[in-house]
Amino acid sequence: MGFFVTSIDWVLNNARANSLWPLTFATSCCGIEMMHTVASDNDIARFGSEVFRGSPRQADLLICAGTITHKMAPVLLRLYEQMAEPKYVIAMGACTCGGGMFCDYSYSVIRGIDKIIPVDIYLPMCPPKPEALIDAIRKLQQKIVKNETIMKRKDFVESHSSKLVQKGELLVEVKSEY
Amino acid sequence: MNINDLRNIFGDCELNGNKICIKYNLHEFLSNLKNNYSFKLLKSITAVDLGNETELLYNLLSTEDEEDVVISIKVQNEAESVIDLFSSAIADENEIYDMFGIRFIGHEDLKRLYMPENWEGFPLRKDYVQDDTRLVWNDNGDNA
Repeated sequence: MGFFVTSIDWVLNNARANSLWPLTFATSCCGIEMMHTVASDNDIARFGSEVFRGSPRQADLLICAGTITHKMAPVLLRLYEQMAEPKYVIAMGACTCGGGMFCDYSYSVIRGIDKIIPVDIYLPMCPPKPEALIDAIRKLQQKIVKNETIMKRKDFVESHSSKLVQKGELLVEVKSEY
Repeated sequence: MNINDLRNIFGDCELNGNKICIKYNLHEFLSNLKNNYSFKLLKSITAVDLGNETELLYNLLSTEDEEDVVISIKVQNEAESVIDLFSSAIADENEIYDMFGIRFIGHEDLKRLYMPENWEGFPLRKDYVQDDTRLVWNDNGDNA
């Protein structure tokens, strides 16, 4: 029985890792580097991630490319929750990893998106070069192939869903007007 | 026109380069500039927090000889609105209310422009402290 389960895991993991469809979510300047990564010079299609989706329902990977402010946080959480499982997150750029240059004195910027949603890969640079984004996607693929199982994913979802609901209630309180 | 002639329009004003510091009657002054001296374009309104008062800077452009002039007035918490003279001032005054909390008398629809509607405080003031507990996103209680 264990042999069949691990075989299914192996097949699923390879299928998922080699067709990570990212969501088009470029909130500031890192988005330009993300566009460059998609374009023919750096050609992210070599790694199966060229299909940028406009709808979160069709996407597997949220590349959060840019600063997240308090006003944008509800949108980020909503998009993340709308994505179907299994879903992965790359925090692209210093702003999304820990606030970046807004870390000390900004009133509007959230210091790291890991306060809102769970993050798989951190990619700090300002902004990251296309090669670095490709490296992050390769690291994510290795993580999926080596570590991911169906049972682990189930535990992960269960452990995070309650936290996301709590944060969602907080967000609703803040964003009630819009 | 020579910028020194502007001194004659309004007696009690101070001239510093192309910056004119006035003390009261802002609306009347701008109305005079617009109707009689061809300063028909309001390029921007900005504000500076000086601690106990706020300085409003109105940047105007003459449509005849392309001359810039900056009108400066120091206010406490309220100022005269100029949206009946320059309709482009609607967004500028909204932004200054959003960031500095200056209320413009005569501006009917004054509201938050960039910040969320129920945001507490005015973030570009010097005495602004961010202590809104609704903005705590993590379990440690860090306000960030």
